Amino acid sequence: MTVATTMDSAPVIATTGLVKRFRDVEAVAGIDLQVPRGGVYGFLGPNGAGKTTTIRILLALMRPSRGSVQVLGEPARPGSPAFLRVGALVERPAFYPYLSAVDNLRVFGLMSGMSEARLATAIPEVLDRVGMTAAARRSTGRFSTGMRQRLGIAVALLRQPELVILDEPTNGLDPNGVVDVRQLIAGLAHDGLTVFLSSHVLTEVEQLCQRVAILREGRIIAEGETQAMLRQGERLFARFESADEAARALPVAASLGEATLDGDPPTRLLVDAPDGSGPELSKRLAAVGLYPAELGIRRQSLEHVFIELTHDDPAAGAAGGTAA
Amino acid sequence: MSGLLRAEWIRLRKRRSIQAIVIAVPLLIAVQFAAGYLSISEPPPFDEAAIRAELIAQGYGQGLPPDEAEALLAGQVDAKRQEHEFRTEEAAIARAVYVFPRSLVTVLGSSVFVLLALILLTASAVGDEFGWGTIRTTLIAFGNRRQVLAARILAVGVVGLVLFGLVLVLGAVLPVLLGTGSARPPAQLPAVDWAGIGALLLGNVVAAATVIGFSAFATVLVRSGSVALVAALIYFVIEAAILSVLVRLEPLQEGGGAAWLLSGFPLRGFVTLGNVATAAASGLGHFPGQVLGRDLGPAAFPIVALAAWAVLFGALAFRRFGRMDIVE
Repeated sequence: MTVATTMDSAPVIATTGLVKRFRDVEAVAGIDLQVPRGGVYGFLGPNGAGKTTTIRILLALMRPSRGSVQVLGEPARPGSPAFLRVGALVERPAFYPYLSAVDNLRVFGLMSGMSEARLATAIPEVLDRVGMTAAARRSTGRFSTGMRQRLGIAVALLRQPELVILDEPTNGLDPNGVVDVRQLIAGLAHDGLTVFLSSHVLTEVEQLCQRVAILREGRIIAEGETQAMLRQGERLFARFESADEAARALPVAASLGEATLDGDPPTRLLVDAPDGSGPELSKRLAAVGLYPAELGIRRQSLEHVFIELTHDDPAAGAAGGTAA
Repeated sequence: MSGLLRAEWIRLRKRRSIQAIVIAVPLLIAVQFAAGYLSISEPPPFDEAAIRAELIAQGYGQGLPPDEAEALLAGQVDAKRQEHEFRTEEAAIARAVYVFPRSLVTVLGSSVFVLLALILLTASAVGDEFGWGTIRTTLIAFGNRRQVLAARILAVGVVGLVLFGLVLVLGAVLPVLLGTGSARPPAQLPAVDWAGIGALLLGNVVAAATVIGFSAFATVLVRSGSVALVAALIYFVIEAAILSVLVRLEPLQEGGGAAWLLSGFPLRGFVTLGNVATAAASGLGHFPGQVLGRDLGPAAFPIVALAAWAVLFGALAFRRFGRMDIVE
């Protein structure tokens, strides 16, 4: 599937001061989001952070209490023509249980303005793409969670959208299904589509997303390139044979950056030093007769970054979390 | 919009419950029609000698002079004859409403089944979307909420028109199947008023629009088809309670100057409309000698009021659906 995209740099999703209040609860508390065209954009946050509410507002399923939303350059209002270029899977996919997979796709395709002729080719194509050809004529009421998830993705892809919004797309899938869907998402990005991916599976986001935004309590507490966010958590790492050697190395390492001892006994040294400081640390340690058994860079996973950010107090997160 | 309607067609025609409703409504009306016709019993032939003998056996005229006893018996026999003629005529009148074209009035009188079916269908067509969560998938596929709701309502409306069409076909076919035309007509048989049949049909169609509008509004308000059905029942009770209070006011009592205003209430209006249009269309009372007013004028206000309710409920449904957050 190849999509002709306009060669502009305008973000596919742009929100300004987005707020959604449910009586006394502020589910979304002022989100400013710019999702660039192309690639996979990760949208992370713990349960109740406001991810799904934000996605519903993006799709005009909910009205924001305040703020503005633009999707593909047009205000996100019910019936906006821009939505004909958007495919989405929000939470648990829902279908008419008495209709087959094919008939469900026909119904939603016809609703979105696709012709019967176009559907005749598009339906087998998307069913094949999500691995559901064998179940095409089966009633969706008997589908397993994983099959419903796959069919939900098929619905999202049916009209060959420019922007695909996927909310927890691998929920309920078996390990093979998870791998298939990840490959599918990567393939969509490769074909030039923009994928806005909300997921709890951080390894998935780490593997797929070029950029991520992390949400907590309705606010974006970190946003930027995934790799930059991971690099922000990088530390120089040196392991010594004894705690005594590590203790002697601590002031030497502190001359390069903030240094701490780790482990029990404390034989590991962690240094928050600038990029490329490894050789310099090695040289300075050698100058005082210290030779670590192991020296390298300890990379944090997105999971570490996520937990670190979402467990801090909000003020600290907002002030120091941005890695862009 | 054409794509939406084609999608509705697929959705509706494959739905078992809708198939059942479309079959059950004409079936119920046909059974009611046939049972009504076949339950009319003709009094046995008048046998003067047997009645006279029975009266004598009961002691009539006993102890009286013969000429006085005979006069008493003759009077009693004559009263029995008149009663027999009345019953025979009553049966003829009862049969006459099953003869075409008066049979059309009779089947339209059963169209309350159609209205109940339309309440169910609307609540189901709109409400199940919330129950299944397909409202979300639908509005992602096509976000123009007004058109989505309009397509749903239009589809149910078309089903309603099909049902009314089937009802009219039954009104034409059932008399042939049951052979109602061969029955002896009553002595006085007024001509059928086609304008009355038209008014009855129009009134039913407008009432159908009202129940569809009400069901759609109730369903989007409570986001559930089954709860909307309960809301409809609650509405029936509320209207009945309000009317029972209002009819205590003198101007609103029968014959009062403002009694017609009560026909502005949907249920009361529907009943009034049915009575007026049926009388105008058929002209037949329930017993010999009963004279019915055939003026269609009193049907106008209920029809206009029902149409206004339909527009109001429809507008409220569209407004609510257009603004609601989809949390399903």
